[in-house]
Amino acid sequence: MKTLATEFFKKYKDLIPDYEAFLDSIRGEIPTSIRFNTLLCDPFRLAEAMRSSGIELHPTPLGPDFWIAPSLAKPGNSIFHLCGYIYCQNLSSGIPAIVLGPRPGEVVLDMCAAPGGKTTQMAAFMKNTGRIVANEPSPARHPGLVANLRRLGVTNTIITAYSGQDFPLRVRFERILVDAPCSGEGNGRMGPSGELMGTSPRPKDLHGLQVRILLRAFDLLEEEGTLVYSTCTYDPMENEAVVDALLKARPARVVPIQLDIPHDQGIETWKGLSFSEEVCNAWRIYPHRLQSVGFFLAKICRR
Amino acid sequence: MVPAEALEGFLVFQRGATFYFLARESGEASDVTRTLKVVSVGLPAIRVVGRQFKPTSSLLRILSPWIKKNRVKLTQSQALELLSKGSISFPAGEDEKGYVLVETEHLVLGCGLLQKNVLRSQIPTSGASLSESAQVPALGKTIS
Repeated sequence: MKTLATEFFKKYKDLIPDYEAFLDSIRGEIPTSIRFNTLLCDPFRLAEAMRSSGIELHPTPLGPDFWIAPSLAKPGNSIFHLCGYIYCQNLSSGIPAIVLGPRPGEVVLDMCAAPGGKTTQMAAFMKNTGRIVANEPSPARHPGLVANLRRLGVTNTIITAYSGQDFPLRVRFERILVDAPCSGEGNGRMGPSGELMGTSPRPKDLHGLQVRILLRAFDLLEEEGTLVYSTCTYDPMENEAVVDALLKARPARVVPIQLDIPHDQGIETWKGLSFSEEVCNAWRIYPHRLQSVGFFLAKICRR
Repeated sequence: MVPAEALEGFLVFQRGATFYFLARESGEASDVTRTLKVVSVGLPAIRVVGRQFKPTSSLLRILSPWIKKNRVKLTQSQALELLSKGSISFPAGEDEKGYVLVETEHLVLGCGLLQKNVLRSQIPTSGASLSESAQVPALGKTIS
């Protein structure tokens, strides 16, 4: 039996601001969004070339690398995609790497890297210098990750396959991205009959796994380093509660994010639980604020 | 011929018949590479095919600014035909054979093999069904 989207999301009626607008926003498809691969091209010239071939492009709040391309129904079949000039990436998932802000020459860990959208985005920020460790514990997801790194011409990345929570403590990183395994509720859409689409069955004890991964990531962070924790879900137990567990267990702080992108702040209470005030510095991304999927992210440093 | 300076930034690793290019690192970055158990490294750059070295399409795209010879420029329709059919007839001189960089006016597509007036695509398409919707740009400047 199909689950209705309204039934599924009603648990968040008091959490999601302007809830009716949220429900309206998840009807139908999200407009196609793409990222320009600046490792291979100049974004302004690529925009010009794409427009000259009849592709409609609309700017986004994420800057000159991200575009909405409504006329590009199947971007994977476009020659721009084939040659590595573009990557199909939703806007929300482009934000964590922007917040992390890796720079040329730095040593960066992408703890849950497949399929490589954020890894390739960071490689572009770093101009293919320094080193990215793209860690992906699931061997089944390596082919997709490898294919994307190759297609986009990434040369500064090595792939490892450790469980995130067991990543060896022998090395330290200046920047770490934990795009944690999650229930993926943010991808949930409403089909033509109101049915819930785009989410898969939820694994057990995600909160525990997410906390273990985040604790290990923090232990791998250099003294002056920066860590971003993100998920594509609305569930506070996978978001604020995970970050709160880190704040209780380690000398960590959640720092404000200084970007002009539509968002809401993290929450302080949920179902009788209270979180640290600092958790409000985290961002919640909702599809009725930004034309994309639901997301959560927190920028974390050492105290 | 690619100038040596274009390759100075890479470490080269070999596994089987494939050479991988990894951006040269320094300081802590080199510790990372040495310390961890690595599954895959850098970009597959060159494959030994028979007695020849075949550059990958990925390598040609990143080195294209330095490549002055062995470039084949296709029209929009030729590019689409090459990518969808795998080969096209392409008149070439007796001495024009071997692996070439294939491009359109605006895009570097990747690697091709030119032999006896036939250009064969060496560009991985990953199952993409290129058609009219492939949208090869018709106007504008080179974007690389």
